[in-house]
Amino acid sequence: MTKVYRQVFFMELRNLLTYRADFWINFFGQTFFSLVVAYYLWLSVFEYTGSQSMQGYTLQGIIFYYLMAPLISRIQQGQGIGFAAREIYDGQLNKYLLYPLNYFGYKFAAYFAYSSFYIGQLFLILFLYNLFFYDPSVYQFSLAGIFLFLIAMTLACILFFFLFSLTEFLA
Amino acid sequence: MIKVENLCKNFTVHKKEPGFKGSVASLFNRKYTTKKALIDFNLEINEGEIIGLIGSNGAGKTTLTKVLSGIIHPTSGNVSVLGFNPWDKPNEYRQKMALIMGQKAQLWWDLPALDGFLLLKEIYQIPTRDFYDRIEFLAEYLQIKEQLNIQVRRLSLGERMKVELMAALLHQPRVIFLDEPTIGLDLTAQKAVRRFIKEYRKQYNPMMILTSHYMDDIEELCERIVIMKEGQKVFDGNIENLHQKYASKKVIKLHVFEDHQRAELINKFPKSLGQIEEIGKTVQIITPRENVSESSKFALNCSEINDFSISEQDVGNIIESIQRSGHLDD
Repeated sequence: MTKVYRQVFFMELRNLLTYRADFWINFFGQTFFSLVVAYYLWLSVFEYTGSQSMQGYTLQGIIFYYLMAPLISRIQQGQGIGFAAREIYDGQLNKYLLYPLNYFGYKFAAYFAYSSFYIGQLFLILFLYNLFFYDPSVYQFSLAGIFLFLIAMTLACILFFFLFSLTEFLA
Repeated sequence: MIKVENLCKNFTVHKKEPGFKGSVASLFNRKYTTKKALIDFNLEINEGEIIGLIGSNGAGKTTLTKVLSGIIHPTSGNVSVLGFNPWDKPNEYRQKMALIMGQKAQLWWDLPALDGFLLLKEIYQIPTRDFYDRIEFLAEYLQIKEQLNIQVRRLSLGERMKVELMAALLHQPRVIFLDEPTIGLDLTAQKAVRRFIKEYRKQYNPMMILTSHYMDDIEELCERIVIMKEGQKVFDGNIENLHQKYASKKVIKLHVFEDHQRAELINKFPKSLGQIEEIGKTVQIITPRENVSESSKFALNCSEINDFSISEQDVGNIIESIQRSGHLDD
């Protein structure tokens, strides 16, 4: 049965790669544009106040926060809120009721595929960030840190998946 | 075998007064009404049989199909399909059943059909060799080989139906529910789908329930038809039974080339034998079965006939009459 969920996982990844423009805009575009806006906004705030840090955050620290926060939020949101509600509304739920498989297992595999994709995106962006702007005072890069981060993200995915599913089915 | 006993299904739907006031009021006080989709419905289908489920919109055909496939629970009654209770949804049952809905795509829209098939291979645990053999057979027969690598959403309606059929039949189900499989297709695609269903049945002999509004589908594919009206069964039998029971009249068509001869025939034809009318160069007589011989003799003696035929009344018209009034109009 695990082969089924593995196939679902890879199928959702293939789904994500279907549209080229959408893929690249989603991959780099959104992050880039929000980062540019955040950078100029906070640069002007720092210049206006003349201080080096705000509530313990330097300018680079804030930019790093702005870089990471949406990426991590996407990992947690996986396939996005409303997947089940949308399927019930469209009548697409029927097809899952016909297949000899567990609906939640299927949906979790699909959800996790999206989360994994966004984890990949986060690491690639982090790699590029480290290449040009790495500053140990902002964050410490370590393998143990990455390992713990992956565990935390996996648990967060499971938690958010159940929370989303619960709210959607209750609604 | 499928056995349906005293099946009832009610839907509760809410009613809303029109306008914004009605929308706000319905947030606090909602009025509900009960719609009876199936009323004491009984049916038996034997192994290998194919039945046509006919009825106007809202007759309960899709509800029945959904109950039999286990998508929805009935309000009351018993159903057994291949010895299973469908709404318990045992995996063993789902392995042996397929539902094809002409109006709803079940394949993954943004991916080529083959990608979807690969997932179905795992879902139904089809051995790799069998899987590729079946793909080969189905694609060859449906002439869709070239389109299997194209995104489903980019396929034409006919091609999409063909890949949907492939997806539903990959696991060789023993019972197949076909809910309007030819809806919206052009004549060529309709014929191709019908030809395929016929051939598939010949090879694998599954039980099939076909719902369609196209009489050609029913006449060509079904040995037995069940007519539904407002959630109830009003006829169950083969097309010959339908004619015997409801069509007490036959249709005589005479091709008369000369205009004056057609006019003469229409004027002289005794009203007591039946109805007569002119359709282009043809004269059509609708006459009770017992008057066929006398009507034919009269018409043949009266004018010079270029062509002549006697046929049963159109099945579509018979069914339409039954649906309208519960029995055939005279």
